[in-house]
Amino acid sequence: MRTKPRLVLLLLPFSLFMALFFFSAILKSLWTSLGYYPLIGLHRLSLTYYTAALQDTAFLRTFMRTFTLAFSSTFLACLIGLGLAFLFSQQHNRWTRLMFKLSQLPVMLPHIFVVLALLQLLSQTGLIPRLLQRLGLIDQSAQFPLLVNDPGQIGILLTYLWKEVPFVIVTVTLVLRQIDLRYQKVALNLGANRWQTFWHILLPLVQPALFNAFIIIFSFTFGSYEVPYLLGNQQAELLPVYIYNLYVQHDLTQIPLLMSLNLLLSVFTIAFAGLLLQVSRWLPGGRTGGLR
Amino acid sequence: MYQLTAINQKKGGQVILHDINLQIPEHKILAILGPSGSGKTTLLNILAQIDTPTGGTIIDADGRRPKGVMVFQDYRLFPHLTVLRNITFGLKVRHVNKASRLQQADAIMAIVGISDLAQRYPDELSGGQQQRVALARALILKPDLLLMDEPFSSLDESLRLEMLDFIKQLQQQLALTIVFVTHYKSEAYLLSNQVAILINGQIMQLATPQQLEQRPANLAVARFLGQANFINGQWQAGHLTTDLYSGSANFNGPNEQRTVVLYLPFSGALQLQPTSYPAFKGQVVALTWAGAYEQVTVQSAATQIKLNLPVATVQLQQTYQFYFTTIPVVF
Repeated sequence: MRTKPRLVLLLLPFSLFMALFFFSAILKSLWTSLGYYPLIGLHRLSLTYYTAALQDTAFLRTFMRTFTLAFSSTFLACLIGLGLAFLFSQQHNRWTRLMFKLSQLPVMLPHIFVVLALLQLLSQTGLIPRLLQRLGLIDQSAQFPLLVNDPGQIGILLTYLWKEVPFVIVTVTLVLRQIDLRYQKVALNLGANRWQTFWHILLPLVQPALFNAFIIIFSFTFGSYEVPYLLGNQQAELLPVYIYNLYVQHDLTQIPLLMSLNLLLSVFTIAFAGLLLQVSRWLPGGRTGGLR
Repeated sequence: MYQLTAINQKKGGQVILHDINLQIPEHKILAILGPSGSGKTTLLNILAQIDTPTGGTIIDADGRRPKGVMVFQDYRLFPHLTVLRNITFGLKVRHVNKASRLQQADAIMAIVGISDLAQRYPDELSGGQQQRVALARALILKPDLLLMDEPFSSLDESLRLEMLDFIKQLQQQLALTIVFVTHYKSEAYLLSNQVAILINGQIMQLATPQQLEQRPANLAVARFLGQANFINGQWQAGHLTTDLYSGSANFNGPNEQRTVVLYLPFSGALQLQPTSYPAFKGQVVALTWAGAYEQVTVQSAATQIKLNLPVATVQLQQTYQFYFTTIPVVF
């Protein structure tokens, strides 16, 4: 076939790019994490750094903390986003249309914008505490609850929600628009009430899209660096910041350990996404991929 | 007997249904026939209680609202549920226990002929199979009214006839009351005992197919049914004057008027055997064989009309004297 060589040729730039920057980087990380690092005279392959990482309680604590935050913020974003998407799709009026338009805005804005906005507004020297102080509602700005760089990671959570809830709304709304009211009318006619229609029909139909959104958001928040770096608490470091801090110490002997942490983070994210996809397939609605 | 009284539906200032009074006979098939946009589907949705009318009542002999279950035009099987779960959905939301659900589903699937499809998903079914599943999903609820929206429009020709026969047979077997809407005259005639003509949100006529063709209630119905010649003329003191025919006729319009239309359906209005209603002399100018009959074009003076006559009744270029089978109708 004449098309085959052409196809190879067309795919070549992309393949080269992937080979050069993606796979070579991963392979390099893998070798290094396994202890092959000639720069400092390490040549023997072993799993030492992995076992060390998995026995390091500081790492494991950070890992659990990061997982908990990423999972709960993603879960909350999905829950709130799902609720709002349903509200917008069921109530068609000027307000909900405007709200939907507005909700699309944060999807386009970068995280760093939200971070800086939150710092400007909510830090104890920020706009809102000062405003409250002026109004005489609080005596001094230190009385304002610590919402950024706080141990409860509230600042990080708020940033993620502000950014990811709209993402869920947009994703779910697109599916809901496709099925509009068709299946709702059928379910109603067959005797289902609103809750039964939601639970047995609409939720399964949006479930695959929701799980996809969950995976994308979780993978991002689990590995995100800049938000926890700027808004996080130093006593409750998150994993990407932890790895970055190790890296900037410029201790070459730490590099293999660092790479193993990096790969553990990546492998876990991929495995977790795979697990979620399996769960989605197993749940009602997973069979057809929702809609065809 | 189900009685619809003064059903009105307005949406956004627009009248969709106007004062619908209609009797739906039990254990029969009623077709609602009308052009698109006439309000057919709205009326069906009201019967299905998907839509609430702005006014009017629907009651059975005991004064209760009949339960209507719909088979949608696009079937709308839930894509994430198997055939079995689709069929039992209505029972499940009524909290019928599982054993009873399965038992009823088995029975209905056997009747509808889809027992071997129970574990399939909708996207693995053909159009005809999907319609059978949609039928089973409705029938398992033993509805007072089985409602069908354009039931055959998504099927191809051969399957359409098969499903038509199948639904007829199902209706007799289960003594169903079926209301279906269509904009195809042939479907309405083939399937139903009674046809209600709905035009511009109003029921214009309720009659058997034969009555409809022979005596449409008004010009709107006649024009919608088509397959007829409409000849303009004058009406004065019980006397009709047209280019084609002048003489007595039966006036069927709403009120006395001068300009009228003579209604001559292609089939059954004219013949060569003499009757007491001589019509006109005309020459056969075109002849097309159409299987069961011949399509004949007749020229009389400046007027051309079309007729469906039995094969070999007339010959090309010959002139004949035509007779009305019965006194002609003007609107």
